[in-house]
Amino acid sequence: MSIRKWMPLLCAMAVGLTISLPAYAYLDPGTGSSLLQGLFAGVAGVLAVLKLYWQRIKDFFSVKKNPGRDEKNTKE
Amino acid sequence: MKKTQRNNASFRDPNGYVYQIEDRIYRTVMPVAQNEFDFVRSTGLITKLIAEKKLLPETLIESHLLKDISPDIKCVLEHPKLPFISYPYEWTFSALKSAALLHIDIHLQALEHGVTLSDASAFNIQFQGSKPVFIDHLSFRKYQEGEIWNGHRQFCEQFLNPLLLQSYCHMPYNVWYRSALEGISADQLVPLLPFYRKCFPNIFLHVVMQSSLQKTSTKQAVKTIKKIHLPLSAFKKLLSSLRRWIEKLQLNNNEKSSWQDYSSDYLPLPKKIAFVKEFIETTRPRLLWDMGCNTGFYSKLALQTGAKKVIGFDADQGAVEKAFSMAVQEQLNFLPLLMDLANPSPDQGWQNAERMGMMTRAPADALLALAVTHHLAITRNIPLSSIIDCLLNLAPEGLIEFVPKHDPQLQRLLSLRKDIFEDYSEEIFLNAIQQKATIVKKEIVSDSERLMVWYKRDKNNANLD
Repeated sequence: MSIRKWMPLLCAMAVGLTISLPAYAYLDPGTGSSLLQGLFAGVAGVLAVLKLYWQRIKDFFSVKKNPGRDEKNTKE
Repeated sequence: MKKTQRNNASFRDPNGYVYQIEDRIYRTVMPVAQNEFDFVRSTGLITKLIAEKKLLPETLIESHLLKDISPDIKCVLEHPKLPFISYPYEWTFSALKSAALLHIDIHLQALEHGVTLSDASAFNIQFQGSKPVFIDHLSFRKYQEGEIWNGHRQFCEQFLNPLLLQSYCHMPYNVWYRSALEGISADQLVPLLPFYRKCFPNIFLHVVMQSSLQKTSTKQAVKTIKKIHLPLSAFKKLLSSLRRWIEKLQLNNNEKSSWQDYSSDYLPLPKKIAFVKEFIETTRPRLLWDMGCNTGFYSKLALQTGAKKVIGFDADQGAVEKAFSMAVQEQLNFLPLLMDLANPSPDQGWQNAERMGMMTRAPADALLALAVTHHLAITRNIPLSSIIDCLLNLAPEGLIEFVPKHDPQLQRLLSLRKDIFEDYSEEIFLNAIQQKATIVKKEIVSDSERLMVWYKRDKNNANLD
């Protein structure tokens, strides 16, 4: 009975182990290279990378807005 | 008890290590790598690559030889010993280009067999004559569908970017590469490229985009990277498109290099040729170093007369490039390298022992130092006796040419300078040789009284390593 309790966890672990990336080699592939290859990986890859990049663009614009807000606060 | 020495450059990859016992080279296959090793060999890829001379031969041998190193080792390979090791920062443009193309060709061939390469280090390639050959037998492993090219960044840093630096920025990579052993990164190259170049798709992707995407924080990027599934067809296209691009790259050195002036002024001297022939026919060196080889005229002559293998050294990029092209076209066992004799490659890398300096790779069996000592003495202000002492250490016998001050070539070097070289004379030259060696033969070989000397180190000084 105690084994049945642990079965879901054991199954999840088994699945996790089979689909997790094995330790390939001593070499660091690099974030830039890995993401770049995402762009070659088809539509899903392009969308995934763009989503990541979009966050950077959004961050860039939100920083620009902040100085304006601060000025307003100090005036008051 | 035979002395076992682990290769100083073999420590990063835990799959196996290279050892030297006396004059033989062995590679251990560690237990962690056994499965991959067996899989790769079962595909027939290794046998094929060796037959096509793209991969250095390997022989499986009894592992008891290295049992003292590690009792777990099940598998040991033996490889033929390469008579000379050279490094990517010493290779001329066309040599690095041919190494890059070989790497890609091997990777494409591997993928046909369900195998991929773990890394893409330029130091995994050596030259046999002017032909590149792959030497990292444990870099091959099973390809997993969907995996990205792990070696792409390293390939760009160690093969592509140096070639681009020369081809698009007209800047030789050798000096930079010698210091930065990991190569030239994309973010270092981006600001150097002309703006219009960055708009071309290949550069935009592999240099500009790779650099830009590298700035994404790893924490954010990891989730995205883990989702990426690169189909095999896309992987092959990536390799093929890089190959097409690299094949088209040219040296693009607009400057007229000094060798071109030199070769038009200088005609091969019959007496000099005869002297070199006599020397080579008598000594028949297995490994000859040609110091100041220029376009390789005497290197080729030596090979035709009985030398087995020649390594050439010259500081002039145009000359070395021309020498290499000749070696490739005529399939000579000749590798010309870019080397400034006044500042040769040092011992460097980890513990200053990972990559050997030029002096550490000495001695050769024989030496040619033709029309080179006056350049070092006059242009680089190195005392003549010191130059001779250094040359004598490089090989137990050889030919050295003395160029007198009144020779037109030397006069050109002095044309804008005051003659401060009181210690530059034939007498001092001969004395310096006789400090450590015997003069076997000497002869005047030109109208300007150039003197060729055949030296042989004395028995006491025979092993000056």
